[in-house]
Parts: sequence; C-alpha cells; structure tokens
Amino acid sequence: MGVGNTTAGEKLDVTGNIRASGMVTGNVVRAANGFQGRGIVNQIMPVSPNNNIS
Amino acid sequence: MKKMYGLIFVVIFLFAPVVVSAEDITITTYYPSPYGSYDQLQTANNTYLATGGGFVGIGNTTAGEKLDVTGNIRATGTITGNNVVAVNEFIGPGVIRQIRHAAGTTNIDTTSTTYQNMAEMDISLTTLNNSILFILWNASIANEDFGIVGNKAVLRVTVDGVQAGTFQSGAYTWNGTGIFITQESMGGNCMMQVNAGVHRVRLQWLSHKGERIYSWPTHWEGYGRSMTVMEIVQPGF
Repeated sequence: MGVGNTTAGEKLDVTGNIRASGMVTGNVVRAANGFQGRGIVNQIMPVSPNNNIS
Repeated sequence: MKKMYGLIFVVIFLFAPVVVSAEDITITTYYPSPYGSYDQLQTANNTYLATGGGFVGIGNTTAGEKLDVTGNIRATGTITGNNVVAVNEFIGPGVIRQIRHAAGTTNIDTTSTTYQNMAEMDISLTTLNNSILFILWNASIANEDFGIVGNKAVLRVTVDGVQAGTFQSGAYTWNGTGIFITQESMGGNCMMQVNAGVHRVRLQWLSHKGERIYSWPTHWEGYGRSMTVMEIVQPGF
C-alpha cells in the first residue's frame, strides 16, 4: 500500500511521516538516520590528548 | 423491432457506470458507502479509514490494531509513536547493539618487557559498519615485594592488534623503610570506529623493567582484571 506515492515497494510504503498516538510495534525497527528517545546513545565524544602536561 | 433495440441500447448507455477502461471503475456514489473487495484502489486526496471504529489491515484480513500490517513498513520521513517497540531489536545510530564482558579468573604473571596478551582478556565480536566500540577496562596488578626500584606494569587495549586510546601504567610508592607499596590499580576507557566484520579486543600488559608482575584475581587482596566492550551503531551502518 502506498501512501503519498504510487510506487510502493513495501507492504506499507509512506512518503512522509507516520504518527501514532499509541504504540508502534515491529519485529525489527530500523532507523536509517537515528533514533530519538530514552535509552539511545546519541553522541559519544572521545578526548585523548597527545600533549604532555604537568 | 429496430426501434426497440435502439431504446434498449440508449437505456444501457445512460444508466451503466462510467467505464474508463476494461478494468478501471470510477465510483461516483457517495451514499451508501461502497464496500467490497477491490483489486486496486487509488485516492487522489485525503483518505480516512475506519473512522467509525474497526481496524485497518494491510496484507491481512485479521487486523487487531488500528493499523495492522503483515509485512514491512517504510517511511521516507519520521515515525513517531508514544512508545516504539521492537520485539527483536532496534537497528540504527545511537543503539547499543551489544555489550560483551570478560573477567579474568585465573592467576597469571609476566616478566615480559614487550606487550603480551592477558589471558581471558579477549573479546571477539561481529559489528555493523562504522560502529563505535566503547571499551572500559580495569586491572589491579601486583609487583614483587622488594623488587626492582621503579618497576611498573603498563597496560593497553588493542582492537585487531592496533592500540586503542592511551596506555596506562600504575603508581608505586616507596614508604621510606625499604618496602615498596606494590599494588597498581589501573583503569581506562577508549573507543575505536570499525568496519563491518569480526573484531578482536584485547587487554595487554608488560613489565617496564622486567620484574615479575601479577594479575591474581583469586588473591585475597583482589588483583583482578576485567574488560567491557559496547558496540554503538553509527550512521552508515
């Protein structure tokens, strides 16, 4: 079923956003760009200086 | 008789539904709502389904949720839900895909002045592309009492044989009476970005001046060692 398109390549293929007031459940949930929400590590920044200091 | 056939033809032409082609039917009826089984249905504007109750099934006729899809869902935009649940797993940037842990249980020692792999501090894991390995480790190392002045244990982590982060050495102290305080507690964290495949994370150690150093997790003073590796998925996975 295509929503916003006539070229659906998946069972439900939406061009645009999906919003649910309730729960969204899937076997595997994949995000190409990223997840937002509790429990997600969105940034990890290492600092490993090479300069000797005293 | 000819007039009769002509009249029948006119009646059929006027009252038949508008036929676009052999298989496409344009429905112009608003009431009662049309229902039935359609091979293909296309709307050109706002479409509202199950507004009076009931469920919408895609790929099934047994929907148990408001929208119940048997198969995959793909969206070019954002999917927002109050709760988003993955029965098996989430895959995407920001997800901690796996956490692996190793803790030494056997007593080991070395006098090597070049890096050696510490027994049991060896974690192999298969990652996605671009993942970051976030590594935490700690070890408590003992030196020989009355040993070589200034000897230290030096530890580092390697990923596929390449040092990750900085190496670390412990501290020894001289208590002024001829006895060295010989326990060195070290810990660190580091990270490394890796390609898809199997990777091997190891904790290594050496003895700076060749004095025998010990990792004795069974000792009552607790000279243990442990390491934890987390895979955090990144864009381009």
